[in-house]
Amino acid sequence: MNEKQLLSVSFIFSLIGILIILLISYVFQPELYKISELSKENVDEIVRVKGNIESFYETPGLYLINLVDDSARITVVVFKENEMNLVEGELIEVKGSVVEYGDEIEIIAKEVVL
Amino acid sequence: MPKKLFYEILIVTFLGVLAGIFTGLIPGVHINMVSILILSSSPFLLNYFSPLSLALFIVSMSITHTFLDSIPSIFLGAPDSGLELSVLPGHRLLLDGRGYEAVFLTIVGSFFAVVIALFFVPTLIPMLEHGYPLIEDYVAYILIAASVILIWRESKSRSKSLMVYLLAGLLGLGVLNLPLEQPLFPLLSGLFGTSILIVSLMAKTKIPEQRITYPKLEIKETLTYLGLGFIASLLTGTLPGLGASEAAIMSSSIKKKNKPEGFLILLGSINTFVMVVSFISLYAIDKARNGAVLVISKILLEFNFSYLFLFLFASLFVAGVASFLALKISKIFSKVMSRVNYAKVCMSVISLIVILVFLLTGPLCPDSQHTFGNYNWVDGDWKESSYGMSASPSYSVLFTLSV
Repeated sequence: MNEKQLLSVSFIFSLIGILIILLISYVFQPELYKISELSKENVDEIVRVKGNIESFYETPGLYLINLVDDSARITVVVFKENEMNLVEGELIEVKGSVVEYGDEIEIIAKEVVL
Repeated sequence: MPKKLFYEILIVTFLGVLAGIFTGLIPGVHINMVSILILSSSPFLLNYFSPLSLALFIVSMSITHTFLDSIPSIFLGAPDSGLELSVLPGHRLLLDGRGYEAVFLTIVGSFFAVVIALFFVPTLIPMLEHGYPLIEDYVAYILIAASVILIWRESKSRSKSLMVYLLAGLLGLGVLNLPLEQPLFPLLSGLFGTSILIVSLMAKTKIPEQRITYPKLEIKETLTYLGLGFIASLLTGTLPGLGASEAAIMSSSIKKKNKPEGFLILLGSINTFVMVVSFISLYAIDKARNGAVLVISKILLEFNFSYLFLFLFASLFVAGVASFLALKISKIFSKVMSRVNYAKVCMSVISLIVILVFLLTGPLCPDSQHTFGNYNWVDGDWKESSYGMSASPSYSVLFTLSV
């Protein structure tokens, strides 16, 4: 075996690796929870929740969204990267990490799908 | 359009590869150290990266490291902690002007280790899940037996081997109880890095003109060494305290008349097999068998099959990239090493190690509290670990024994 042969084989396997990673990135999703299922045991975990915007507040650096589903209510913190067009009552899906704030749990959003 | 997650995976994978080049090429700098630094800075890093990204960074760094760490061990005579056995066969080829070929052989071993491990995942998971509980209660006895075998096979100097074994144990106990933030870095770089560089300096090693040659590999023989490496890695990937070198000694004992070429394939393969098998062990038996995987388990909290699947294919991708990089870097070393002053290179590397020791264990350490040793970030606080991580005394004992 010489360099050319080894590099050809490694190129092919690398390509297979990256194609499968691409495939995974389409199907890889954190688990979808109902808000009432979240507890302090989920702190630091990346989760998905779906719910309606009950109300929201905008500060210069972030949005605070009160999200409700048919089970409970939770505060979602979204750090401002872009302006968001939020509408009360709208159904959104949030992907983010669960954090403890005071005595409550909140979600720090990484992705909000309107 | 590919999803944002795909780009995130690609970026952290490439950053991990860069970190792996750094840890692989600088003797004494180990992935465990970088991983623990990541864990200690995770409260800050998690503001910018997801836990998955941090874990993936460690995965790609670890795999790249196993491809590149043979380069300094062969060209500089300064082996990394897992590769001290490659000094002899690797140096034999180097002194014959075939340093590039020696690195090429370890890369062949490493690359096919990833492919074979991936192929056997469906068999390995149930094997570990059902097999490990059967031996779990006897792990201590198995490790004692492994130590006895390693000492016994030194037929001409068993008493000296026992003495080294006991001294290494005392050294491990002593150093790990010192009030140092990074006790393993000075310990391992001194044992496996600086010592051999000093021996090279004293021996006034002259590196001959290097040629670019390729091994004449017989497929059957290559597969035999890869198979031996795979079996040995199952032991080291599941049992605490056993490293790549111990696995190589034991598995090479099975095959009589080991050629240096075959031994280099074996060593390269074990180094990478151990890393991939340790990801599978984390999923199948929930045990972290090296520092990097321990940090991954702490960052991800729950290691599910999706993570394993992603890590294995990221490893495959990284294996191809790392093979390319290792071959190119090794070619540069081949061209440069015979022309440069070897003594000056050794002195420069020793100086670099000394500077890094001061930076990482001295007052400039980024986190002055428990960033290494048997401490983990648990519930918002550093707590003493119950894991048999690589900082355990038994690790130092078995490691030093293999010198």
